[in-house]
Amino acid sequence: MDERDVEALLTRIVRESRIPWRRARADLRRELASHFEAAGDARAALRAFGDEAELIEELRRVYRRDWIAVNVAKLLVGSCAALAVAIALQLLVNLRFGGTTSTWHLSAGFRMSAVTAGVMVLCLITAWGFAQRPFESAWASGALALRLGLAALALLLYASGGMVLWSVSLVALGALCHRLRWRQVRWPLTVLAFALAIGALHGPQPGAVDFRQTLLASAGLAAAWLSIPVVFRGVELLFAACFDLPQGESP
Amino acid sequence: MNFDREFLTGSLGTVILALVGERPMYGYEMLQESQRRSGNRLLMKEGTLYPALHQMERAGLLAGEWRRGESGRARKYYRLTPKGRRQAQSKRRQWQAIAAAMRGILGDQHG
Repeated sequence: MDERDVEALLTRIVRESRIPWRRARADLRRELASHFEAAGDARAALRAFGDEAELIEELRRVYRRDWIAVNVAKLLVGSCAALAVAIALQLLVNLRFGGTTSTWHLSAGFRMSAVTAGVMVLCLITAWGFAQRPFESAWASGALALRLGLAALALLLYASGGMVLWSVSLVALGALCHRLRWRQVRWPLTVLAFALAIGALHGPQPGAVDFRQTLLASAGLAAAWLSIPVVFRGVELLFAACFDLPQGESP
Repeated sequence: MNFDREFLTGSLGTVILALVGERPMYGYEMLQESQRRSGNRLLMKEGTLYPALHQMERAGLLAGEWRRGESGRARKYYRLTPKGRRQAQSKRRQWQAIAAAMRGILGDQHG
């Protein structure tokens, strides 16, 4: 045991304590380093220091509220950004030129596409939240409540129950496609499955199915799906830069 | 003497408030001082002191400040805030009342 052990111990304590503020972490490290410096004999000081896990747990308890607040903020920012990207993608996919007025306009299906993509995004974020390890039931329940709240808000503002059911069915269809062993065909198959589902939904309406537009709508939904991990990675990096957080630690 | 963990956990805050109430101190100094005054009977796990200090600082009972001590090295000195001073007085009264009550229950031979 020597000063390198002390350094390693301080690094572990500061990293594992879930202190979201850069300044507080630096302060803790400096304070613990000054403790060992004052103690003199590193070996004896390490022995007297006590259980590392217990200390980390105590520090986590002290900073728990802040940690939760930062992670809720991260989740909110990530969810809003993913929703915004999904809706922007649907705007692009549903932008049309021409018609009676010869101007740019949104297709009649925009509202449904936007709601479908939005609900799909919320469902996927929730599903990924539950797949995180280590699984923390209290945190997952809070996150689920938050997402259900967001979904309910979106539902109240924009949609009907049928649209939500339709979106959840698409998520289930996409998830089935992603269980395939052959990675190369997962995305093409997802786009095709979405297109078939959209076609089946509109099939009974005469002249409603346009193969090109259906495929475009399907690709738009798949792109919204694909964008979620990218958006969340971006938010993760943003928060890591703002708070100097250890990446990938949040639920 | 080995104390029950719950005794130490409950008394740590009172010990800190009492020590810092006399003069500003840094963490290691508090440990040394509490050991000395208790005749080496109160030996706490040193690491447990720091979460308690941070908790009390965040609760507004203590204020921490980095400055150089007599040795010339920078240390984080804690002092009582007005809120901490009130808390210290309250804790002291509570402890005196509890100690008197326990002496009455256990008898003087245990007190």
